[in-house]
Amino acid sequence: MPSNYLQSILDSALDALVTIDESGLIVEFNSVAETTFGRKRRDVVGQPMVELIIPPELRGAHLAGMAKYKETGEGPVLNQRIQITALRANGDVFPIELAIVPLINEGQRLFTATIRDITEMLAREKQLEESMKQEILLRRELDHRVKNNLGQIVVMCRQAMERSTSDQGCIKDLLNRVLAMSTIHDLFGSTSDDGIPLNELVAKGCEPYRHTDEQVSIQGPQLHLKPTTAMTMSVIINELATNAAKYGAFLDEAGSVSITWTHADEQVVFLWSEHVKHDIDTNGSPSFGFQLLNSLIPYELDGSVQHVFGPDGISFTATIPDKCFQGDRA
Amino acid sequence: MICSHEQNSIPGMLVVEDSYLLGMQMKQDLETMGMKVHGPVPSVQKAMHLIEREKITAAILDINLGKETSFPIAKQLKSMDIPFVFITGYDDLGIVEDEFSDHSLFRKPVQTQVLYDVVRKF
Repeated sequence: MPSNYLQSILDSALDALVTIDESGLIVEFNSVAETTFGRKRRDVVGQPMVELIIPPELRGAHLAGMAKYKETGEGPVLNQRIQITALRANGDVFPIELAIVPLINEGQRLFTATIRDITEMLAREKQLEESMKQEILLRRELDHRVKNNLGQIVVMCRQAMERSTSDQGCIKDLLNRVLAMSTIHDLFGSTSDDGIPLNELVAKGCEPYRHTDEQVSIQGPQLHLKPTTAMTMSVIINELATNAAKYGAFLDEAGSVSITWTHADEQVVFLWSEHVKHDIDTNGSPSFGFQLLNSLIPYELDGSVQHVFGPDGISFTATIPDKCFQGDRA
Repeated sequence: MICSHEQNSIPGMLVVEDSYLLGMQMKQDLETMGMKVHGPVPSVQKAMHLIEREKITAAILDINLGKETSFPIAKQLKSMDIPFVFITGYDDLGIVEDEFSDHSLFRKPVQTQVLYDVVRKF
């Protein structure tokens, strides 16, 4: 039995300390050991350790190891840190880190085990590992998105170059298309995992082209776009808005655009409808913008589109499968 | 420039790419280089449909099609002994399934000329 001085050192240790004698009986059990194993010192001193803190499936190996050490003086688990499991009084088996040091005290051979409960440490490690995996996944996704965008910008530039001799405005269109892509990235950054609210995407897309707030009315049930769908729709909104600025509702302050959508039968029907006061110039060669308006939604979202030039201005209708929108709400 | 016999040597290039812009540009470029292009198509289903109906002699496959990968298309092409190359926006070249490891893989953005030089030799 240690002196009070030694006992207080043992009890101030940060790890559980358990000492046994050569026959496997507990001779020392500090206060951390009491907490870790849920047993009182007075109940365990003099008792065989193997039945108290070693899980049943490891007991055979422990006894065999002790016997071998007695016989040969060799103990492969001695003097090193190993990870193994231990048993609490309530029957819980939990992970520990363990180091066993043999020592001789007053002619008696003893073994002192330093034991650390690593349940929380392992949980933290696992958490960290998962968040790192998540981060790698996110980085990959971001990388993919950026590369795709760069690829698309290259295509836009080339299309603009081909038209730049006959249509000077195409360089400005190019700039606006790239800006629209950057706007959608702002929305990705500021919204949660729920996806991008359609009303915000529409409002943001019109912003650079409209003269007043009142020119744009947006109405429809709350819908959130999946990221890839949002990219496609932002191009569509930009083409509609830039077209409106050149020929339609955003040419002056007198025009207006009503943007509405409905959601029924697994489909979202999106309607962009302009009301203009001036005469509309519908002549002109089919532009790259109209190619995008006609083809993007059928190609990328498996939907359909239709546009009509009425006396009031253009009406553009897109029918989009609702699987392009985020989960519950759609 | 492109000779006519080269044009004949690749009568049917299938292009699978989920971005409309990238797909259209590739088609335009390949056609300028004298190839006949089927597609572009953005999905496995539409690609399979073209493979059934058209005479495809080579293919360019974007691996990631958004909701799916183009590996089922690759499997089908391989079983028909039709050569193809992959393109991908991902850095991770380990993404290609083992059975296709002998097929070329290009990272986006890829110059169509580079693809052309490869598929021309098929």
